[in-house]
Order: sequence, then structure tokens, then C-alpha cells
Amino acid sequence: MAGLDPRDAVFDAIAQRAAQDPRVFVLTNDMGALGLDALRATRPAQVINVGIAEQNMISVAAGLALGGNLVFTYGILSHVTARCYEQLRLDVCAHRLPVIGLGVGSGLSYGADGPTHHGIYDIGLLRALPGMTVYNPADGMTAGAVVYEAAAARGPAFIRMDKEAPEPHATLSAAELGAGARVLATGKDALVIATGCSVGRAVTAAAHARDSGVDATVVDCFRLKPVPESLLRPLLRAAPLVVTVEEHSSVGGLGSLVAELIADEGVNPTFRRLSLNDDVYLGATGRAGAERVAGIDAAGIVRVLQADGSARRDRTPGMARAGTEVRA
Amino acid sequence: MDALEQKAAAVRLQVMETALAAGKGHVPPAFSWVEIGVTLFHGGVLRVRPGDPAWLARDRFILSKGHGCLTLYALLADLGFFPSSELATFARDGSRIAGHPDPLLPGVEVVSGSLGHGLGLAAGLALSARHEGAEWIAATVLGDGECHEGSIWEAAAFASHHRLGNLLAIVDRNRLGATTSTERSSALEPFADRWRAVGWDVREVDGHDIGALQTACDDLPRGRSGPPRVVIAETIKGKGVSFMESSESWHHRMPRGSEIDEARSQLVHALEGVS
Repeated sequence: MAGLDPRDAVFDAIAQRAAQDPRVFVLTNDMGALGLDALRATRPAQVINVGIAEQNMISVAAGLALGGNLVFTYGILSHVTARCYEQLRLDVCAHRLPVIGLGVGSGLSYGADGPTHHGIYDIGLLRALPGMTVYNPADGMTAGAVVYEAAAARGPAFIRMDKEAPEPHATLSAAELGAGARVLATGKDALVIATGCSVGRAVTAAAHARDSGVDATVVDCFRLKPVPESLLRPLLRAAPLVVTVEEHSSVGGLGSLVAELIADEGVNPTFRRLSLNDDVYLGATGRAGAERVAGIDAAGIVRVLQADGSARRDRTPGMARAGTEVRA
Repeated sequence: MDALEQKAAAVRLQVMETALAAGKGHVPPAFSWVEIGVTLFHGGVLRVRPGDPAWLARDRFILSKGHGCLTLYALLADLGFFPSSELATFARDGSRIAGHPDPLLPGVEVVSGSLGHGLGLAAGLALSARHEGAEWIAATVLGDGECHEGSIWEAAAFASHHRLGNLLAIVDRNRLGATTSTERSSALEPFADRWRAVGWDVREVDGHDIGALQTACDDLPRGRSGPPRVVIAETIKGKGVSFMESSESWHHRMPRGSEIDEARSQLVHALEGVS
């Protein structure tokens, strides 16, 4: 069943903000959206199509922000990150300006359009930018909520948006919004941390795994930077098996940041990183097929939970203690 | 005019001394825009308050060719944005006077030095000023080699399309990049025609003639829409020290041995000549 489209949610939130504040701008590199059209109709001076010129879009956004404005920039995720990376690093982040990037097409949203449009490398890029807050909402409701969060922070931020529009996975409390992650299911045998579209796959997988006796906690990690440490650290300390799931390259994304957190925490759970390969996916790539091959669909997650969750539980009497197993 | 020429001569000497004290710095690219900088800050073009660097109504200046910062530092210190004694810390560990401009230093709006950023930033600032109905302008100095960057032309088209008459760009047209002539690496000519083609109000002047620069920067349409203005200032890289002038060898090279005395001698002589 289709839920709220993340783009509609984001532009609704921006429209509400812009209605109260003439110093809100939206810039786009000639990318359309229904919500953007609606905003343009009511606030024409505040919506600017800069043409297909991503570097200039970010520099102009930074200039507007230097002048005291809150600026959103909108385009296809893969184009508005790598093409203008230096402008993000120097013009926006070096000055900690309130420029909020909106990139549609996370993961293989545009899989059939080929590698030019795949949003599978940007988490690593965006995470490396000092001062950049990175959101990867899993549903439209969360996408709308993080707009308010990012706008209130008045600093550099980026919101990844998927083309899928699932029903909300759960409610989102103010505390969860502040924490940057929420727990969608609880179980003692495994901790599944997912982000973006992979959250829905993880929830489905956990339900199936539960039927076969593996109880997993599922976390929707919708903020990737700053890492939701307050929520994740206690869970990592208690988990015998940690599985990360993301529709992103294996380099620099959710798996990488959880690996860093595990290392920082000094625990040693069984750790499985499920992601796409460190590769360029040539040709038209079907999302479902690519997820199946990479093992990041629900079935792939179930296989890992059954293999490693069951094995771990079988070896460890009762509730496993974190950090007790040294993996080969 | 003599006072401004004297100011330019003093700036050049200060640039040289600051670089010599640090043992580094891009001296020739700083020398080429000295008269441009003097015109902007002392010649009645920019409205700034050295005692109040964050004054909301100030004109915003961005040195897009950030490697020419030694001239900016000399100008800002002379105006009183920070004590002139602080110039002695240039490029030293912990100094806010870095090898490229940094907003830690009063009077500097943004970090610059990676080329191709300043015009887009200034265009955003100019748009912001017009949106709020303010009279301040955004001004930027570009290197000509910098105009090889595609982002400059993205910004040029944007500023023209939005009729940012409150945007002033001055190109330091010294015809040299870091290692060779701009015309040998990737020709910029017909340079002025390129700007005209995207709708800019183009003024071509001798970039070492302060009077001509003042005229070219005159009567900016503050607070009004219109074509943005570009002043193409024909300059000499390394201007003021004969062996540096228009030389492909002199981009960030520092004088050595007898070259130091010769450079100082020429700069002091120029200063005394206009005193």
C-alpha cells in the first residue's frame, strides 16, 4: 500500500515554513516535483530554478544563506552530491551555513536509469563533510519531520529521499526524532540496523525470522550523521549478532558507521554488513533483482538471521553476553 | 589620485615584507590586483566599517582568487580591520592570517582559494540583498585563469538571468595562470565578448590605472535590477618588481639572495616616487 511520498512530505513541510518566513528559498537544478510546483505558485520569488548547474546552485545557496536566508537545494541525489561536492565542503560546511540538500533517488530508486542515477555512493561522501547532518528517512512521515529538525538546527544538512512511498513504519516521537533512530521491533537474538528503503525489508525479515525462532530488534537509523549513539550504543552492547542493511555501496555507509561504533564501543558481536557491492552497476538495474542478488532483500536478511542468529543462540546458553565471542 | 597611488605603492611593499617574513606567499598574483583593491577599498567603491566588520549594511567583498590574499591582508590591516602588527603572523601556526583567506579574520567574508567559487557566492549574496530590498552590493575579484572553471560561467549566466545589477565582478586579467599563459593552456579570448554574450555590462580598463578603475566601478545600481557588471582589468602579474612582471616563473616563487634586495629597492623607490 502506498503511503505519503517523501517528496510531498518534504515540500509540504517547507511550504509551511515558507508561509511564515520570507527568508526561505528553494533552489533546484531543473528538477520537478508536485510539491515544488505548489510552493512556486504561492511563493514564486522564493523558488528558483538555477538550470542544470549544480556547482552554481550550491554556491548561490551558500551566498543566500550568508545573507541570512534558510535555503533548500533540490535535485537527483547522485547529481547534487558528487557534482558539487567541493561547493558543499567549502561554501556550505566551512561556514556552517543553513543550506539543506534534498536529493531524490536514494539507493536504486532510479535503478533502471543506469549508474549515472544510482544513489549508492553518497552516504560515504556526505558523512565526510564536517558539520553536515545526514538524514535518510524510511517513510514520508519521517521525511517531513526531519525537515523541521534540520530547519531548526540552522546548519548544513542533507535529506536523502527515496522514490518508494511506504506506509509509515511506526509513529515517530519527538524523542526518537531527536535521537535520530527508532526501535521498530525488539528481540534478544539479534540487532538489525537498517536505513532508508531497507528498513521495510528488515521489518518484514524480522517477522519471518521470528516465526523460525530468532527474535531480532529492528532499528530504523534515519539519521546517519551525527550517528544516533545514545540509542545504538546500549543496543550494540547487548546484541550477540548485529546486522546492518542498506541499499548503498559497502564503502562508507551504514555498515561502515556501525563498524566504527562497534570498534569505539569495544564490543565484539557477530557482525554482518549487508549492502550493495563496491561496484558500478552498469545497464538497467532492477531494484528487486539487485537487492536479491546482494542479499539485502527481506529473504536475504532472513537467511542471515537464521544462520547467524540460530548458530549463536545454539552455542550460547541463555541470553548471550556481548563481547564474549572472538570470530575467526 | 596621488594619495591612492601612494597607497598602492605602500600595499605592494607591505605584501613583499609580509611574504619575506613568512618565507612564503603568492606575491606576483597579489601585485597584479593592488590598484583594483585600492580602488575598491579606498577609491569610494565599497562601503565597509572596519570597526564593525559585521555591519549588516556593508558591501560584501569576496576575493575569489584567494591566492592573491596578501594584498587583501595589507588593505584590511591598513583600514584597521585588525592590527597591522598581526601581519607578521602570516602563515604561521595558529594565525588567522592564513595562506588563503579565512573568515576568522575580520573583513574576510568566506574561505576562498579553491577557484571558481566566488562568483556564485557573490551572486547568492546579491540575490539576497535584492530580496530584502537592501542597498548593499556584492563584489568579487576573479583571476583570469580562474575563468577556466566551468562554475564561473554557470554563475555568470545565473547572475545575468536574474539581472543582478548589484553584483560587481572585476577580473584580474594578467594573462597568466599558475605555470603558463591563459591563452596557451585553454584560450580565454575573446574574453570580453564571452561576458557580453551572457549579458553582462562589460568595462575594459587598464587595471593599474586607479582613475580608470574608479570610472569603471562608478554608479553601481544599488538595490536595482539590471545587467551585472564585469570590469576586465588588464594587469601585469608581478607588477612593481621588474623581474617578476609577466613571468611564467613567478607565481608563488619567493625572491632569493640578491633578488630580495632588488625587489625591496624597486618597491621602496616606487613608494618614494609617489610621495
